[in-house]
Amino acid sequence: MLTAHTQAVLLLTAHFPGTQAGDSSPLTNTEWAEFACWLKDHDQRPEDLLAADFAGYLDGWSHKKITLERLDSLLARGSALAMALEKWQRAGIWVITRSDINYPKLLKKKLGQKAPPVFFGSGNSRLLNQAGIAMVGSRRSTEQDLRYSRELGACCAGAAYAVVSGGAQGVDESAMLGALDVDGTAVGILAKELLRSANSTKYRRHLIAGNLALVSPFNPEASFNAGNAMQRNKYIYCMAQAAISVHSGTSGGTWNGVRENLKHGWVPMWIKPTQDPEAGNALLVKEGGHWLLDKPSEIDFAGLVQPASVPKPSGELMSLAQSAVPANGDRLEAANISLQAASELPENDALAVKCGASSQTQSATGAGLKVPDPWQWALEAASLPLYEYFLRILKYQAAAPKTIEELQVLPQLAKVHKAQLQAWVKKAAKDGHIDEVSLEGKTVCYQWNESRNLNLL
Amino acid sequence: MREYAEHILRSALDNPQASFHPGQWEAIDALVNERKKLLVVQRTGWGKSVIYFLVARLLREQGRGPSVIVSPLLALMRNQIDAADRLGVRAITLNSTNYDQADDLIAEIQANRVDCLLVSPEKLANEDFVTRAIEPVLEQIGFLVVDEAHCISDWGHDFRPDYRRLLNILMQMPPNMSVLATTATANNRVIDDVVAQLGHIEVQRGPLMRHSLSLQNVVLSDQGSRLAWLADTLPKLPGTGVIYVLTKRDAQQVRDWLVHCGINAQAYYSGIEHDDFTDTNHYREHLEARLLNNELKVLVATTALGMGYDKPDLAFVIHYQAPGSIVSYYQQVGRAGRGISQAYGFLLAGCEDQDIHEYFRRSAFPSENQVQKLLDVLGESDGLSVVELQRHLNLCQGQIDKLLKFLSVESPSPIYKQDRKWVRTPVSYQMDHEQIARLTRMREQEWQEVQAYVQTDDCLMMFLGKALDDPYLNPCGRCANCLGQTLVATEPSLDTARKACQFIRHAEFDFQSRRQVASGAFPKYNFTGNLPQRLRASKGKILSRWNDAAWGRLVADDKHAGHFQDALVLAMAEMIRERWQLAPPPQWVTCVPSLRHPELVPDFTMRLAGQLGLPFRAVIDKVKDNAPQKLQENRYHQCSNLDGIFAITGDVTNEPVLLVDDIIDSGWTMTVLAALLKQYGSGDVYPVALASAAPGK
Repeated sequence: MLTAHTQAVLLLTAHFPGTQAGDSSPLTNTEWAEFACWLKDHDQRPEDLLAADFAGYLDGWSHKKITLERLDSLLARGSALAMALEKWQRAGIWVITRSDINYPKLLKKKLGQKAPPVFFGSGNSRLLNQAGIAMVGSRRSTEQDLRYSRELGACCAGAAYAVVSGGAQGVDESAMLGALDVDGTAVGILAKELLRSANSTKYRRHLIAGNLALVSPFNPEASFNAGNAMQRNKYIYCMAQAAISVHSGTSGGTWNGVRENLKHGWVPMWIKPTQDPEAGNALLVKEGGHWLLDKPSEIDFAGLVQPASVPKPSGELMSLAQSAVPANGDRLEAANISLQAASELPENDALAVKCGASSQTQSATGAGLKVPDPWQWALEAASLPLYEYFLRILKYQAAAPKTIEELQVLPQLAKVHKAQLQAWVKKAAKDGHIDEVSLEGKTVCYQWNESRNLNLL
Repeated sequence: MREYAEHILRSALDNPQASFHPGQWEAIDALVNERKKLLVVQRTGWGKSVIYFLVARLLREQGRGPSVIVSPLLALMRNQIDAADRLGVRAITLNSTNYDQADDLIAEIQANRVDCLLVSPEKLANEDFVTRAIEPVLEQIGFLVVDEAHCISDWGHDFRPDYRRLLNILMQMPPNMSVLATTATANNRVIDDVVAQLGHIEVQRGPLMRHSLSLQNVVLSDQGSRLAWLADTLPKLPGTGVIYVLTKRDAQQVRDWLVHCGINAQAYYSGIEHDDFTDTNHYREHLEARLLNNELKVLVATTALGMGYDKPDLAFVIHYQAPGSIVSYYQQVGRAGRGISQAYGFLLAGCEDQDIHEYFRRSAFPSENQVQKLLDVLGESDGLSVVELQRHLNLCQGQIDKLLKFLSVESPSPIYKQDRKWVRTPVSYQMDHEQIARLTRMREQEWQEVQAYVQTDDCLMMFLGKALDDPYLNPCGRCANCLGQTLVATEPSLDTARKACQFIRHAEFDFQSRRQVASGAFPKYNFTGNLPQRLRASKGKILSRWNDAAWGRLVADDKHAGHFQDALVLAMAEMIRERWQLAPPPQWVTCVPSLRHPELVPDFTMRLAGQLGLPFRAVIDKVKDNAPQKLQENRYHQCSNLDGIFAITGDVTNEPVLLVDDIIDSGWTMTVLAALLKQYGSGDVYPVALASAAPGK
């Protein structure tokens, strides 16, 4: 049985099957956010509005669009709520609101008030707060892409990450089933027909086994609607910790979704190379995505999450950048990718947990990355490939002496935090890869020591 | 507001002195002004409908949407609609009988011209109906009424699956929705259960005793005596009434007997059909209306004539067999005498009651095996229709329906109906054996309570009142026990008893061969679709029903003993010669072969042929063994189990033939053999058998 709180939120925000009564269109996410804020500020709870005379609780509320009449007719939809919920719950659908423990925390954190007030779902709701990698791709994908997606899903499961996807045909479905078939976990965020998908043979046994959660912010019987699909895209990114786009056109859902993610910088965005001349993959890299060059079995998924992290210097995290080691000529670009990604570190406490012991040494608060002892980090990072990429950059860029400031404005290092840069430089100097040179007795510069690096690169 | 409401009541009743019964206004006030949830327990006729119609009206006047009344009535919503009309409430009903007008009615609702919508729980559970008729107005519904709310509780005598769903709807009703649940038959346990499940619901209850009803019990163990008692007693009773029976077969038999005795009676049960009516609902409505207008002396009904049948001048209710619980007895007998000063309730207890109730209890729940098989089959698919399920599961339609109903009202349920197909949901499911055991134990206790009622020397009405936890009790002063003398004779006359016994022994009935074969079931015989007329059997006869009081018991005993005695040969020969006008008459006799009992039927048939003076020719061979036909539970399996099993090997002449078997179950064996005989050039084929074993008929 639903709590009065959930009932009130549903009455105010959910669409129910059947005809909408009069002008009672449910509150949008933004409208709900505004209204909920006002209630909170006035010490009212949504469930208070389920009293016979609710208007008494709204003294002072006045809004052009969210009128008392509209609220009244929304709140009077009790029969529709009861009939719909009876049907949905009978089919095993559950409802969570923002105040529920299993509501995806990342979503609230990244989207704030734009996170949907309600999710309908089926399966294991605890998965919604599991660390996951988003996998997206256009519905019209080649057999090859689908095979890749399946393998990607399976490997992601092997790395103990959930696959987060949209449950659409094609890449979404292949990636999710790839994970599920090897007993991994997946979260599908659907834009339509949750009820039908939950009852389908392909997902049913995984839902029963507790390896899958299917959720939708829309009514479980909603049919396809482009607006819903677009709105849903952002939840896929924001519920994951990194995203991989297997294939994108130059328009449509995947294209727009990836660009939206790049624009907002929600999670590191990885793009699989493709032979398809029509694909938008390369353009998306130009817009800030990173090439994902490895075969799925060689991807280090944790590295996708946090490719090169200033505040997260644990061995585990740093080793992730390995995934970006290219076998071909554009090594520098690969290094660039990693370092750039490092700068995109999300302010994310869920990640800190994954970082293990070293996370205790740092208390990253907000965007400010307080580093207790950069040197200590550098030591930890020494064994790591990322450091080697840094050295590679130095080899070419510091052939002539460079100050730290000059290094920092290099495009490849532009996004690396200064503390990290200093730590690496100190270590490189200590290890003898570079020499500390004092130019004209003023500024300290660093220069690549070719003779001591013969066997290095 | 009270004055205003009372004013409406007065003009409705056309009585300026009228006022609310104690409790009526309080209920209206709580529902309209406080949006409360209320359970009202009052006897039928007290005026529960005044509450909900006035609430509907007052809410409308406050600008709320229409009210919905869920009530298990079928046809007689007419009464309610008229009552609503007098209170200035525009009520309509949407049900299967006016489905063709649904568009107009829905348009009326959408145009805001309807105050009250009456629907049955079955309709409310029907997804198609809800989508079409309810959803367009669902968001505006302002008030929900659940009539006969005791059905919500599985402690109730009459728990119904569709009410289980209604309960789940009620549980989801937010606090700002007014809800009224009403019942006339709830004991404390049921009330407590409803309150516990629904949470914030207030209870209002009044006295349940009925003051115009005189009760008497009559113990007559054999059916012949009870039939005779009915024939003797009915003509002496004033007015019209209802006889309740436990099975459809009994409804038909009692009706036939009464008609045989010149009493104007009709049978009534779910699925009853009549050639003059398009479907069973129309015919049932017609029967209800005929009783209502006193055009019938008596309607012989199963419990299908159920809650909500409101005929104020119903003068008697007779139970041909004891009902399963006191509460259901109270409810059924309580239909008599609502609007008249004298009415009668007789309970005839018989020896077969016990067995029937045990069968009901045993078959009340599907078996674990059935459940598991269904879930396995659905789990492998993306949805199956009932017809497809029949192929996968060897269960009859009724069993499949029951199984689906049982599972589909669970919440969450392991199955769900989606686009007219059943799908498996992602809900893991375990049958609740403990609950099933608890409910079965309770049914046993209820049955024991009925036995105690039959035996008691105390006031019968008080016994009923106690079982209902009625707080307002005193001896009725008008039952056989209070009076210390019988209201009517407890023994039938010898003459009628003799007639009744003969009637029972001549209770043979027609056999109609099957027509439509299951698709894909006969690849060898190549039968498809409807069997053509030229291959169909003529109308046949069956001497008795398996194990019945006439010949059926003898057939059962002899089948087990491996030899049918001459008495059965003579009885069948007499039936064929004297009561079955066969034209053209049969010229030879053949029989259904069996590999398990190769002699039983041929031996019987040979003696029968001898009695009839016709040649016996065993022209049918069973060329392949198959599973017993009686274990095939649905048409597909019944058909495919026979494909290629028989061959015609002897000399078939182009003359009418009697085709003899001992037991007819689904009728497919007779149908297939008649078709084969006719393919081989025989004349008309008359199937004849000693007994039918079709279940539930």
